[in-house]
Amino acid sequence: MDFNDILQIIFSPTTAAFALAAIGLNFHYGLTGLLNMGHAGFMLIGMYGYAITVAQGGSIWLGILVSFIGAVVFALLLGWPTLRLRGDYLAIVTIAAAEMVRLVGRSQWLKEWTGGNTGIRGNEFKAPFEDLSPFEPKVIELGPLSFHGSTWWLIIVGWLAVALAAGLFWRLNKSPWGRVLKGVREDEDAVRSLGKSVYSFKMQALIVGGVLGAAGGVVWAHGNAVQPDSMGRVTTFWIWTMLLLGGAATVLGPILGSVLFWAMFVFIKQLAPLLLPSLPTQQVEPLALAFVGLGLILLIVFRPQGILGDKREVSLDA
Amino acid sequence: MPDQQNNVFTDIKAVPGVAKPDAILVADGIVRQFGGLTAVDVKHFEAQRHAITALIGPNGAGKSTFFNLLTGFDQANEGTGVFNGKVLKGMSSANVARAGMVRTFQLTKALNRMSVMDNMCLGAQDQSGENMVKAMIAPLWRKREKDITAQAEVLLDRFKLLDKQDDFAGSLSGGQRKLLEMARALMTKPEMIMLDEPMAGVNPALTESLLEHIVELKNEGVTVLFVEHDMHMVRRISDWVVVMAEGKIIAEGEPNTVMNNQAVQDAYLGSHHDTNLFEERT
Repeated sequence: MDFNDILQIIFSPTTAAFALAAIGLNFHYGLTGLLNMGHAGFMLIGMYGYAITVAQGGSIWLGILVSFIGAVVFALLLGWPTLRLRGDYLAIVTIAAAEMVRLVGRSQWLKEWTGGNTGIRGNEFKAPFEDLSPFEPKVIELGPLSFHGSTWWLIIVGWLAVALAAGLFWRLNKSPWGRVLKGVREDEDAVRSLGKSVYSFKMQALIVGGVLGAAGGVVWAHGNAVQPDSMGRVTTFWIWTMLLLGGAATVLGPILGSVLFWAMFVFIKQLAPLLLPSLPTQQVEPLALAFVGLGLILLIVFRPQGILGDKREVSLDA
Repeated sequence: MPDQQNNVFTDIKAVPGVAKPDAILVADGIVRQFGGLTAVDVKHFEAQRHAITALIGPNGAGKSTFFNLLTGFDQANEGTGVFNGKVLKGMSSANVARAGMVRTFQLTKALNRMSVMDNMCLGAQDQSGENMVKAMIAPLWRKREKDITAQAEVLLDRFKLLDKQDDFAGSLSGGQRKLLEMARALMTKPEMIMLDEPMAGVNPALTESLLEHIVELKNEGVTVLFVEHDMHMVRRISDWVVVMAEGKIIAEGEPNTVMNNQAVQDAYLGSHHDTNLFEERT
């Protein structure tokens, strides 16, 4: 059993990326009650927008801008037909749209840009960001943590972005804007009767959360590579698990959720071979995921509001 | 109560669709059909400014549908209303509210998982912090927020909910939620308030104070239109009563006149033998 691995994953860019995405989903579900079942689509849009722009010679900032604009357009497209309808319609449309993004990404049609099903390799777009790294390009150890210099750089930037996003959520959650969104979550008609344009507020929430999802995608792409099949339906449900685990509608819930999710994942992956020595290695990961699913079921049964949530405010059974 | 000081209503003829001397809300030829069923077919309707108008009628008469049409929660197939000079046709419910006509709901819509104070503050208009970008810069909206909170405290005090301001609205009793909903509607500073069955599900001890609140609204210059089943209540507080049956206005007039109207009694008979409509006839 190697507890260092668990520590490594807690600080890793992957955890930061998913924390960002989960904060985005918190704007959707925790604040506004929008059932976005295709958050992985926003992450994919973000990573494609960034990686393609940078791979074609654009700057980092242009890449980020393109990825955010992509998320805004995606949110507008999804929200325009569905936000006037009941919440279920958004759920159906988002789940389908996210799959469409993935399938278009992996198809041969745009292979020149997206790399088809192999995706975009890291060395095609990571260089401009890594060149900014103040660390030496070698493995650097800090206490029990040991990462490559460029990964340290990504960790710092990634977690800074998470802190910024959490700060944004904290500020907006406690603002009159956040109050209207919570009103929408509780009862749209009541908010309408008080003279607020519900549609516009829902759209704003969808856009903000989507942009944060795209930001998560950018961080994830830097930590790994652009790989359409790594952002499928399952990924969306991971993000939901993180949000519900940590506690929806809380500032730190999504971050705690992401950290616990990945720590649990690595822990189970390490534990499985010890308990079941005959288990083939390629089945360890599916088993770990099965346990994560079990964890989600237990969570909903015993603590529907999540670890940090206020049961009175948001719980699944309300 | 309503009949004391010089009453404009004594001069108005008690016939359906009669014109009022100073109408704040006028509806013309409003038809709403659901498939083959005509739920509402109102030829003409006017509500007098600064008065309490009651809308009564048996179940299924189309009162709530008429309410929804007037407040933009539903759109009529034909006809339109004019509120305070503004044509209501095609106006969204939010814009109707912003124009100064605010409604409550038959099934109370308290925002349960928000505090009582947050419920109240949501009613306030002109809070620039509801703009997403401005929301990020607190100094831009802090002052307005203070004013809103002060306004909410005054109203909560009046509705005896001040000590509950930090509780979740969902923890209030049914009657208290009705009061909260009414107080919240008042936060918008409406010119006209539309109450959909304000007494439904409220215990008798609270109805008394609810009635007082409604009369108080009128004294403050707010126009009230309310749907109600309880004839006692209607008789006690309303200046004018409009009766609907099968989607049409079949009678209107001062409370006592209307309740002695044969058509009204016929409309109620059948499903409403037991209303005290007849009991109090002298």
